[in-house]
Amino acid sequence: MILAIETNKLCKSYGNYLVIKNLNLRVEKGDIHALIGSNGAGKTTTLLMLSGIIKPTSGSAIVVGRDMVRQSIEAKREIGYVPENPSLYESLTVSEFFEFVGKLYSVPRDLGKSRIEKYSNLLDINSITRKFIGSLSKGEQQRVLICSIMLREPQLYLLDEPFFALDPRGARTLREILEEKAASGSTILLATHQLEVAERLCNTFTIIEKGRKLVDGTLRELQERVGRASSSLEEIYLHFSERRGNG
Amino acid sequence: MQLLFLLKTELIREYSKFRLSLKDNKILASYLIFGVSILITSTGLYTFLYRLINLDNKIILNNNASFIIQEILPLILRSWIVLNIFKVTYTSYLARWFDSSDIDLLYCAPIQPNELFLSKYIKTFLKHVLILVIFFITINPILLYLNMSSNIFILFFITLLLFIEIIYLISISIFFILKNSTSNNKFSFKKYDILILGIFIFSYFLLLNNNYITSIEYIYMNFPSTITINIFISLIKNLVSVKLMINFIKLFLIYLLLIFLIYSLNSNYYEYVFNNLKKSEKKRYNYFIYNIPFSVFIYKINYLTLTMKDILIYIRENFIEFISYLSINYSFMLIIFQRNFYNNFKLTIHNNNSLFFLIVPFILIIVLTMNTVSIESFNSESKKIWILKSSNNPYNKIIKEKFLYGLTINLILNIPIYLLIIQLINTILNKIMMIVVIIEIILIHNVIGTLISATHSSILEKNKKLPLISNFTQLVATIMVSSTSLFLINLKPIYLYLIDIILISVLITKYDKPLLYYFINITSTIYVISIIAFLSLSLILLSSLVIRSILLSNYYLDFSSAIAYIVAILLKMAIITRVCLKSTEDAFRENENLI
Repeated sequence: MILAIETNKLCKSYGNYLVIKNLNLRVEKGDIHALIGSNGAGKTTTLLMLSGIIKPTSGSAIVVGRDMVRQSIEAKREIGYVPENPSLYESLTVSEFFEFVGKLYSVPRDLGKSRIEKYSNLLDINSITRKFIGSLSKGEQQRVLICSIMLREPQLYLLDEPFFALDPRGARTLREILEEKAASGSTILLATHQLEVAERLCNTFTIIEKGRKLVDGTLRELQERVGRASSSLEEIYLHFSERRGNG
Repeated sequence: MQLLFLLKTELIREYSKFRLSLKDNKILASYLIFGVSILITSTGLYTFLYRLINLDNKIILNNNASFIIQEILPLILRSWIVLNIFKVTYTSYLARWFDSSDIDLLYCAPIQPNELFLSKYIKTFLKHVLILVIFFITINPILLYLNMSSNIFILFFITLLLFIEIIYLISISIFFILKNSTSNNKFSFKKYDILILGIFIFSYFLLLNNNYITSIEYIYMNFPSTITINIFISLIKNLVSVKLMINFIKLFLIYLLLIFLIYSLNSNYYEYVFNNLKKSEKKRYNYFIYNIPFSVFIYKINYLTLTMKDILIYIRENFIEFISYLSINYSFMLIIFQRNFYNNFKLTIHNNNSLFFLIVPFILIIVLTMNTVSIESFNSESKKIWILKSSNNPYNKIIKEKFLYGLTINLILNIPIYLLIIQLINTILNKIMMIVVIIEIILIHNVIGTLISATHSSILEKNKKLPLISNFTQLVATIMVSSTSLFLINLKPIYLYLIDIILISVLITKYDKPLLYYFINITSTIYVISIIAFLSLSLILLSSLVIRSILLSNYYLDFSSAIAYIVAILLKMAIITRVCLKSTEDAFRENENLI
């Protein structure tokens, strides 16, 4: 079993406020893993630590085989991070933004061009490549961002609510792209509270609440733990989060 | 009348924001540093005026003072007007008066447009009063030195306040008229932009040239800047006369007239402007300057992707300001070469006992502070910083490229100053030396700006008061570092004061308590520069001699001394740049509020 993400007692605090408490997260290579939790559960903070944007207060995170504290530069090359409510350079055109990302990650120009062509077609953004990002709608900006990640073809995708601004067609295309990526060996970690999407797309799940892991496993394993084989992910989530609330 | 209710709400909101900001240690630290900076400036001025100038010949001071007031002050005030008009007209300045809750809540509520607008204006007016109070506290030693009575002091304060308000009101009127006249035709926006830019630059040059002014003297005498300068001259000479009072009343009437104009413009155009505040961001993409292709920048230089991206974005987003800044710098140079002015200037700087050689670095630093490129280098990324933080580029590379971006823009913007220096100074070696000194000041100013930007960027985003605070801190820190040499040579008390600051910084750093952490962090990173400046004392002494020597007409630098000075200056630059960039990198790494 090759792990794409392995955290050990990962903690993050801001002053006296502990946001993530001893999180042990394991995601296998090639998995599409959902990180589920309510608002403020710590999903975004976890993703920020795994992408190397912020440092953990304590504990360790091994991502794509590299320690995120000591080897974050090498790891970042293999990570594609999509934040919730992303903000892009409004005064660059879409194609200029792709050029910038290509240079930033040292993607060979020809390879970058062919990938942009492929994913622009898939995400239906061919007609807007000459437009300024600031003049695009939220959904279009989200598709531009996803395309910019795809042009690097990283090993690990860290996606924070990636379907939020997308229309049904865009969401479906993204699902297909992610399934294809997972099939070719890439790993996807998806932070979301859109449980229907997670249930349909992901094969493993972790439920976190107030910075702590409540439970993890495949859908079947979670159903067994709840004791009802036909439980939906929503029922499983409510079961564990309510139990935590009561306990 | 809901004006009072709206105003009260605005003030309560501001007070709550201030109280909330005090809970953030970083913002609290910024306020403290701001306070320390005011103290440093005030003490510096006090020492400068009482310790140094008293030793000099008073007559020379008077000549210099009248030269500065009568010749340079009008230029500064008029440039200020022009820059402000551009700022208000071509940026989203007015949109910053309103926030999303205003647009969503108040616009739908049954409130008279004028009342809402006036409540916003009064809030801004009160902010200006506060800023002016801080300014007057800072320059208090100058006022004491000039022996101003309390009545004259109050008149001085009100005149300056009225002048500032008049500038803003003129700018807002132009904004209203321009936006309304271009609302029906999207292409006319471009044409009007260019036309108005042209008219302003042309009128500005006319205003600078006294020969043209004589023919329209009556209008000229009633210009707000002319009235203000006349009032200032009377006040500084302690002359309370009928003429002074007439000028004062004139200024007040202009202010009232503009208030009335804004009031009526707002009644007519309010709906259009208010509706477009949200859309204004998208509208600007119609500018012709947006046609510059990125690939021209990015694929020519392989290693500076981030710098090239920032330069392109700066030019696209600040083109009008960029051109106006260059024009104003250039016009300064032109006016300097007008016969009378130039002769006065030469006479002043070539006088052995002149104070001019002492104030040159200060003037340059103040000119530099007019643009905020370096201090906004990280803040301009704001919520986009995740792109850089998640990239596989080492932080030191990001910092260097950000620093290079600010430096490049500033070096370009100050080209007219180098040309001026080349014209003013006699020998080639002296010219080279002076340019090296100017570049040193620009470099130090930028490196400090980048450091403050990396430390403050997240709080600048959250709190709109802090750009002023950061700017002021940058100004003071640059003056401290660049002119430590001058202080050390001439001003013994400031020498001791500097040591105090260093000791306090070092002592504070020893206490690593959580509550004090940000204060310690920011204070020590900024004042560590002073420590380094202090340690490189011998080098600084050399570079200060350079400024003094090369501005004296009877001094001719020999080749070996010039080389020694240049090496000394380069070493000082290298030390300060390295220390600051390292501190910037640490600040960037630690600043997780950027996300």
